[in-house]
Amino acid sequence: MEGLAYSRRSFLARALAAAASLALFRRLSKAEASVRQAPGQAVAARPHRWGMVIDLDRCTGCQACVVACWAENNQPLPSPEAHRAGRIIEWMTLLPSTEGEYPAVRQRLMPVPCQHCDRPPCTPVCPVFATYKNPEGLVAQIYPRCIGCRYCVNACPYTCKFFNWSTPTWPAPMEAMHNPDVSVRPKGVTEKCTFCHHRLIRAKEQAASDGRTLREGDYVPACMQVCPARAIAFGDLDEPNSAASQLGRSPRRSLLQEELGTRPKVTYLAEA
Amino acid sequence: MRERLLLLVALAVLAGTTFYAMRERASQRPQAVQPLIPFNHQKHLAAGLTCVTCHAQAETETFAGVPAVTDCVDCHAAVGVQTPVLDRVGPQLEQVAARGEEIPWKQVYRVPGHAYFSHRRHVTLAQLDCALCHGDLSQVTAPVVRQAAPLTMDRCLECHRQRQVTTDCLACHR
Repeated sequence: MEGLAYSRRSFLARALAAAASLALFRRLSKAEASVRQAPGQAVAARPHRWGMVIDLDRCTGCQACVVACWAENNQPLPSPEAHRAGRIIEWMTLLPSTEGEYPAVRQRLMPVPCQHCDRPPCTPVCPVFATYKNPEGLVAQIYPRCIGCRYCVNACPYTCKFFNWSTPTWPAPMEAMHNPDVSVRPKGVTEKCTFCHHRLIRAKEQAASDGRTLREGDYVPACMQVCPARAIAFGDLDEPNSAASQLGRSPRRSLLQEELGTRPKVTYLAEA
Repeated sequence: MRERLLLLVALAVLAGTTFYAMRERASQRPQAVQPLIPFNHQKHLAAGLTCVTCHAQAETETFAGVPAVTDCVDCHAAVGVQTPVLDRVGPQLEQVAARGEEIPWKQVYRVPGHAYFSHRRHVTLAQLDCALCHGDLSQVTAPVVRQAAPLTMDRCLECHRQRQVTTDCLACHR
């Protein structure tokens, strides 16, 4: 009996001590994190907030952006089998929609990249922090960290996340055509549009070597670069004079599924 | 009962030591087999060359690069050093250069494809010493066959934290 009483007392004391030290540790590590954060913030004068504007009145639906995205980001070739299984990987997709009634019917093709939501539904469901929103507003996918649970694929209301159901393959000469700046994703991980952030890394490095800050046009995703109709604008949404934020204030603006409250950073322009 | 426990402890100790011994051996094993050319970093550095004399792209590009065999031949022809080793190797290199081939050096320092590492970022912008990752090559007399320090993410992050530069995943992962 005595032994039991002793063990209970010591157990309680130890539990209390453990809880107290845990609380202390968390507070300390939080304080340390904030100290660590401060100088980093000072280096990048003001974090950017990258966003895209797609003008549907200019878009002709030519799919140049789809092809450019596919080539830039080493996406596997879509096969008929993958298509039948609904497993095509296409970071930039064209969403078809039909508007109006006969005889005034209009077919519209809407380019849909990852919306890089300010409140992304895909990041909180990731159990391993493989997908997260970075300080510049890019929704990232860290492939070696991803365990392939596909929670994020299901959480995305825009279906902009793609799972690698099989090892990606390319016909012989195309293996040598990979973009060396983008990794080839293995089987079993989820991937998505990154706003070509590998171009951002390069642009930042170039700007730093030139001894200047990033300028508008330094960082341009592949889809915008090739768009022959110039329907895509891209830039810093926190910079009031950037083309993207100017166009984003247009009365023609709308967001995809705005009612969900995801606050996408891709804005669509269309005459109502 | 007690004997069984002792046996278990003994087995655990044995397994542990075997594991560490194997790891120790693995850490000394060469990571690449270099061609039979007795390249000597120590001599070149002692002669007054710097790292970027030969690895010229380290300051301006992502990859530091290896010099072309014609660079070796031209430089040696200009400087005119005569040693027994050079008398033996020199003609070999000239043959390689004449065939328009390169010395098949193996890359020892390689980051995985999902990580972006740029020499320009670290050498020119951050002004880091090459020895930080590549070790002190002024003491190395044989071709490099293993990494001086393992290229692990832990090591990258440790250094990034120390120097208070970005630890955002997207700064390196691609």
